[in-house]
Amino acid sequence: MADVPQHLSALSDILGPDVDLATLEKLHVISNGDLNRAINHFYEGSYHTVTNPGVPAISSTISTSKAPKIVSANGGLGSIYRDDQPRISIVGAKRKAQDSFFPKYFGELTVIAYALGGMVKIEAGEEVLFDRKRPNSQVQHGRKKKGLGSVSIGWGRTAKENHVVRFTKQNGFEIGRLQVDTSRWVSKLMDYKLAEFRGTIILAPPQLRTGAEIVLTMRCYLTAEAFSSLGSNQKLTLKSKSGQPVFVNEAQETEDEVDLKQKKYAVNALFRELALTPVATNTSVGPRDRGIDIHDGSTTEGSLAASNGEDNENEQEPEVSDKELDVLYEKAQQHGRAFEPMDPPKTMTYTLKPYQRVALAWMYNKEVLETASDNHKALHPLWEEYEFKKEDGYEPKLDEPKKYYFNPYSGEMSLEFPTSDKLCRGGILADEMGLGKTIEILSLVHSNPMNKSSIDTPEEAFSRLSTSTSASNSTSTDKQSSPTTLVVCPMSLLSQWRDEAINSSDGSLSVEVYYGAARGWTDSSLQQKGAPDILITSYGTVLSEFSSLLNNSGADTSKSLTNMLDIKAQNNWKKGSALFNVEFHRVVLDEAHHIKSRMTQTAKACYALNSPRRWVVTGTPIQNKLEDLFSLVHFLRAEPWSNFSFWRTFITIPFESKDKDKALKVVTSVLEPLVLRRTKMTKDENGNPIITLPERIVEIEYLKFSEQENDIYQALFKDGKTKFNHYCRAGTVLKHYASIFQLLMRMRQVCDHPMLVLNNRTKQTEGKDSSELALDMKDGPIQLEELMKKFSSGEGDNSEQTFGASVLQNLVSSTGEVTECPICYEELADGVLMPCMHSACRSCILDYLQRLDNKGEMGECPICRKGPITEDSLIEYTTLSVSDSIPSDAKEEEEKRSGFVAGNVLDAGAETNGGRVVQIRRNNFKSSAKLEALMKHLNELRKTEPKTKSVVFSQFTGMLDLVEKILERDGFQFLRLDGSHSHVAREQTLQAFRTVDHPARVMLISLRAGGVGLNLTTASRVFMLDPWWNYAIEAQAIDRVHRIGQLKPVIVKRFIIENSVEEKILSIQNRKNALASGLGMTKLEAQGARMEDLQEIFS
Amino acid sequence: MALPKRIIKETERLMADPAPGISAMAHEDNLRYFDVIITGPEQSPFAGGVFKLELFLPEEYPMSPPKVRFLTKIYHPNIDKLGRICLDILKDKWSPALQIRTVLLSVQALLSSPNPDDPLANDVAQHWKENENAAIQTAQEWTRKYAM
Repeated sequence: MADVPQHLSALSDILGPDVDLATLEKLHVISNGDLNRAINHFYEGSYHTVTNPGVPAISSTISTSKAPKIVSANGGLGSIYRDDQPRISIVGAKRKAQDSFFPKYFGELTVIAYALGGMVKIEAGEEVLFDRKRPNSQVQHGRKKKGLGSVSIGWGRTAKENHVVRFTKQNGFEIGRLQVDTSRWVSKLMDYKLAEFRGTIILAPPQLRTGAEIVLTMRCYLTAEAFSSLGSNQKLTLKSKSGQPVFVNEAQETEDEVDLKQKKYAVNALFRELALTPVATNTSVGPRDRGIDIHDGSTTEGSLAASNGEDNENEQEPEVSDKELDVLYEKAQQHGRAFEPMDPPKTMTYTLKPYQRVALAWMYNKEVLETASDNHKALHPLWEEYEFKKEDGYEPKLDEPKKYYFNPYSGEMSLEFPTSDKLCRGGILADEMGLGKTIEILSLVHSNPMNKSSIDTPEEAFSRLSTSTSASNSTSTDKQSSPTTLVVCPMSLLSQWRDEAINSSDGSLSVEVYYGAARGWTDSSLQQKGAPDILITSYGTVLSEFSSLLNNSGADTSKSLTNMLDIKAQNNWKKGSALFNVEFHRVVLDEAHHIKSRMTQTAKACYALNSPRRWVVTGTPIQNKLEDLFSLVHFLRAEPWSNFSFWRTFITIPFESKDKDKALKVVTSVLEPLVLRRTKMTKDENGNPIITLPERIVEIEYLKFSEQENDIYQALFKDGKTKFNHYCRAGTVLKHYASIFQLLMRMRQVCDHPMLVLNNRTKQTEGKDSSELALDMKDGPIQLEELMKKFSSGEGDNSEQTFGASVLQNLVSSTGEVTECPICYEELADGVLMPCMHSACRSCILDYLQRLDNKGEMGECPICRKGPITEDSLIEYTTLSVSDSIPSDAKEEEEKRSGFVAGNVLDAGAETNGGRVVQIRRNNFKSSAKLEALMKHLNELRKTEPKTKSVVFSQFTGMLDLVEKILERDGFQFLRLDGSHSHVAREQTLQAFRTVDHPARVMLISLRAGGVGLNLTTASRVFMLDPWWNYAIEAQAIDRVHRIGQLKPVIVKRFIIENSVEEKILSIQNRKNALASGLGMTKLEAQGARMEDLQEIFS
Repeated sequence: MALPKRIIKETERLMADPAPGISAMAHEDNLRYFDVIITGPEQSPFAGGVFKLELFLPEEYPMSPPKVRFLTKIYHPNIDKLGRICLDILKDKWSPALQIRTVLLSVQALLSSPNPDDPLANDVAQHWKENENAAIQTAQEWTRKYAM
């Protein structure tokens, strides 16, 4: 329309071009300039007759741009308009009681009321009015009342609420009151200005006495308020009730929560009473069959506390069982097939596998946002569609809305079609470990760089608006956009990402690492030309920058998440923070289960990262609890699920109660558009598996303890059992869980090697820890020459010297007389020397020393009583013939018999005399059953397949230390990787291991440090020295080797000691009951399961 | 063969190469039980006497000392009227490097040098300290009486 005056332009835009100027003018006058009233008048058709416009008292913000607007009319749910619907823009405003906008006939019901007193005369067919006394807030201190009679305000005080609804004659004389059941919800509807009621008397006794029953019909008219925001919704709180801007914190939420619950209850009751049924629902999560008692809106303490207390989140929540997980992931898997596979541009040199191209297509499509008119017209899962009822004697106008939408979960109603939200430009890439998610992300970076989508569509503008800061604060353009894709990954994978990124590109992609001292980028440099395409950083870096920023701005980190955003907007971020002052083109979180707990600072830091395109990469989006998933969804800013209270109410609580299936259905529908997951087992459309890997063989090798190890183990076991029984009797097992766990851990350590547990055995070695004891190799191989020198020259008893010298001479000389052991009088079996150079069989002397120790006496030489002597001070010697590097079998036999290992390493410094080599060493290394088994395998492997590399995993770094020693003895070159290594050291180690010809054939890795993300495909053998409680961790470790890029079959050996706690752990693993509750278990049952496990272990 | 090699060897050596003044024979029924004869050392109040002893090798031998006892009555501060011997190597100072031979030699040496300060028989030790000559006299008498 041409020539629309300024003041009418908005109205014209809204109502459409068909409305003529005169009408517009009239509307404008009637409504006194208020847009909303004007619209309502228009739709009511009442602008012809209204004379008194009333007092407009509302300010509402309505944008007047001509472009299709997306304005939140439903409390932040972000619904998108369909083009053919009339648009009503009412944004976050409150109404006064007198304004009777739009009272829309809704339905009617018959009620029984009762009369008060007999003064009034009424007759059937008479119209009545309903009204409310103002709720009487009498503050009662002390008792908190539960249930409907009172409302808890959250600070321990209660207000007694008044439900009374009176009905009166037209002239205002009171007739009576509604029954309590009815008045409960009616009163709320009236209080919150959601509905109006008019009634007609149907039946009344001729004589009205107090308490007489009157039958009425009540007609319900909904106000516009009912269709607008039901009060300030949690996320974008702008103003409190007093109109001041306020930080949303937990306490505030509670009050709003209360209102919300009340309204929800009231509206649900209305629907129930009016017997309204939906025309259409989202079938996957039909609310009626969900069983969630949505109509019971009583503000029970439990649910309030649940949504209130973010801190009791971790209190023994049920975990998701594997079966449930499979169900969840199944849907996500099918999703990937919907798209046409896509190739990245030529800048990517790596050729994608077919399933990777599918992933690229999916991700690309998600980033390039379709407009609302596209294929996402699915009804939002929580909403239902209804049709307005026809009111008697009233013809609806043609352009009046016929349908409305109701969300029983929040009690909200809307005239607009609420779609499944599509504002989330990103998702969860949840392919199984080892399928090449890194490559998939890199292909996305190549395919959708900044330049293409640099022009903001209005949706993008809005999405940035609603996702960055609160709507009232439009200063989000403080942040300049950067073309960089930010990748956040664990520290150990930094180089892996960088290398993959560089190697898969033709050189046009610039890749930088932002870590440690080399943080060469600032916020300004990231926005300029030279900014890298990919910036890789670690979770630690993100966390530390975030923390320092908070410290600088003096913010209180304990406040809620949205609070963070407010502060950010209101205080200026310090310049120079590269990570938080920039809007990245894209943000990717690798191994995103690092932020699975939303309470951690790391998670909060990641949430604060800024980008419209947000991706999350993880092999396991749900590790244990559904809340793990929430954290990811929150990061993705996928409305409305990213709101915690919402999630809690609609997913967590149903899941915890018996409604697991329904809750899972909701989760599935949440996941479906967000998650792409394939596993190694997934089949493509032709039924072939998407990748073929060489086979993987996992074997369990059962070992037996040696006698000594068994003694130690049994002692510990008895000790543990005693303690356990004690706790059982006292009934405090689960309270003393920590100490039982410690016991169990020590038992597991003994299974590896007793030294990990044994304290120092002699007073001498006090101060040294057990690993030092086992490894006191400081002196190393004692040079024979030195020894001889010591004895032939220097001070001391002459005879002693001579004696010593002669002994040594004897050892080396080829005649080698056979000496007799002074204790057993037999030929020296595995002879050892004492410092005084007297010799005896190893077992004899050890036996003797043991007895002395038992008596509490000092160890001494049996011959000369020279002491103190301990086991470690014994000197062992071995003789090898020069040609062999492998010990003779006879010697091995002896060693095995005695249960100890002397080790046989050819020492270049040893004396050689006529073909015999004598190696002298301190006798202080003991082996264990597992070490023996490991060395047996490694030695065999060295003989048969010298080029094969193996990986040895253990949970205990102490154990790895011992393995190192034994490897040194046997001449193996090895590499080591654990948590204590610096980033640089790790990189070097991994690099070395990956080099095929590198002489180190064995890599020792601590289970935790190595389990994540590494690529160890150069190895094809895996040895797991000890089992973990959760087989998934072991599986992940094995997947480091058995993954894409592996060319040979992978053989895994797990060492388990028979009849030990390890065997019990295995059986627990198999039951998949590892100290967690399964499907359908209550807390008590879960505790019972744990007790069972413990009893099994200690049986 | 339940008997440890050591015992067998010792027995053999004792037979083959006995120490002077000492004879030890294994019992027929119990190879751990030895009949021992020690002749009183010259220059001692027990000279000329022939003393019978019994020696038993317990289960843990050589880790624990043999049990030795005088069967012949003897007047000695370190030997009680039951024949039990107070000798350190038979108790705490035992070492598996010691053997029957050395034990018996030590007993013989004990006869040569009584030690009244570490007594087993209090009255004898008392006597020995108060009046050594008289004690020696008594010892000789007893030797004549019982050990010849």
